[in-house]
Amino acid sequence: MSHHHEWGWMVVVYLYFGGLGAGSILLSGLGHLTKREHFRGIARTGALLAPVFIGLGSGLLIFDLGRPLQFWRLFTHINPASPMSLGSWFLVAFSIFSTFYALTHLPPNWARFFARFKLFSGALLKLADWNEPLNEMDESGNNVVGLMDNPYPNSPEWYSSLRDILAFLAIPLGVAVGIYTGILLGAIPARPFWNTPMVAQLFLFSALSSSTGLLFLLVPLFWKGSKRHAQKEHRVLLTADLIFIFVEFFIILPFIIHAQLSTQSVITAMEMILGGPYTKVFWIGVVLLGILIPMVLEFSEFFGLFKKLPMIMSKFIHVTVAVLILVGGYLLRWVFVHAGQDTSFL
Amino acid sequence: MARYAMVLDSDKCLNCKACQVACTAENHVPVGKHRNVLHQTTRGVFPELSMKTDPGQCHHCDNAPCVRVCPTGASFINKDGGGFVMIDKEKCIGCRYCMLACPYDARYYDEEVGVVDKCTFCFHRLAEGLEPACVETCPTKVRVFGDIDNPDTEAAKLMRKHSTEQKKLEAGTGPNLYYIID
Repeated sequence: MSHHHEWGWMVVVYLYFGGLGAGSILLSGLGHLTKREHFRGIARTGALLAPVFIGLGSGLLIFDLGRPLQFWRLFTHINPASPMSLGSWFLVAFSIFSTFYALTHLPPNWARFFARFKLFSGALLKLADWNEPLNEMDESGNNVVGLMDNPYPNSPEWYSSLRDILAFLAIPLGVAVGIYTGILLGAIPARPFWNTPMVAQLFLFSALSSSTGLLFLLVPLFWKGSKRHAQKEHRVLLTADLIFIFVEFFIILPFIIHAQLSTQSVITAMEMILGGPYTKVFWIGVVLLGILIPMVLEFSEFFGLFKKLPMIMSKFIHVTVAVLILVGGYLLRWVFVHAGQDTSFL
Repeated sequence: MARYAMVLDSDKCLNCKACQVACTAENHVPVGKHRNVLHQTTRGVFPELSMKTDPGQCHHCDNAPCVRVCPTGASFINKDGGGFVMIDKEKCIGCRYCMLACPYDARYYDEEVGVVDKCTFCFHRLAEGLEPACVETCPTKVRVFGDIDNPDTEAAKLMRKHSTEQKKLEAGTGPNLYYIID
């Protein structure tokens, strides 16, 4: 049954990175708009990661083409019925948008560093000044801000508004790109394994969960806050991921159950993960390691079961959960891209 | 208006593969790739068995999924030239989305050039008044090509005389290959 697959690892990684970019910008936008001090690390980290992942993903997508140098033909033609055509335009819009959005969250010390290269130095120094965040601690280390009107007091008013508007737009744009990665697969009837809108929902929530995992790991590198800040931020990411991972799980279940109630083509296609070649990777890699184990660990932490654990142990659990989520998200896309190509309309 | 189709009588097929050879030679198909395929199935219970061969190729669908998903307009239906599904290789960027969208797996990827290709109903031969290479070469006359809107063509006569079926109609493709089933 298994034959040569036209779409391989580059498409898998692209779908994964696209999802990470979409999820990062969405979480960043939400984090920024809440205007709470403990969300500023999420806002900044998500904003900086989004264009990087979208850029890397789009690069892979172009590199995977039979004629990479002809990629511009995607943009001399619009086919509204083709998910790939619309998706290409979305990706360009997302890349431009997320780059500007990232600039509004560029850490001041980065801006000052880039200013040394004598290219747009003036603008970068101005940006560094405008992006200087409100200090959350007084001299004795006590927290002084909670809810803030303006997390960046040095920004001119128009610049603050611009940042807010971009953060607001980041949310629907993130959803659009996150869903699009699933629609790309879901919109072709010839592959019954993919041909359901649930794939788009699944990819969106998997992307949100993976992005949360990424932020778990990376926020501390981009934002140095107080210990209390870090705890609150961890708590909110934990709660968010519990929601995402639950929704993801409750999309996978109906995806499989509904398939059993569908036509023979779909039932046969679903055998790929119910006894077929992708069964082990799907149930052990995606469901157990990527969803159930992180879910149980997050639940335990949410209800305070890890409070008595030594610091090093709870840190270890945090990292493990994040890594499992990220690995599970990748495997989900790997299974879908490959299993789908092994199925066909009977 | 002319409506071109191919009528196939699978029972006549001997699996001699002359159609594949003729097509490959005519269209310079790369080694290892084929524009027409021969699906084989066994019928009956061992040891009382018989073989059935089903010739297949691009169905030149009216509602072609490959055309729908193509992001650059490289896959198109040549409405003025007979309604065939064609590929403009200048415009093809080699994303292979069309290959995944085709329920008949009728397309192949030409790695050397980096584009997708498939059956054209030998469009270039039709222009010279010739039949497609596979039709011309078939020793048992499995394949008959013609305008089924014109009652005088052999294809139309076969369609009148026999019951035919189209493959995977449920995929919503509107295929133009008719298989004789009686």
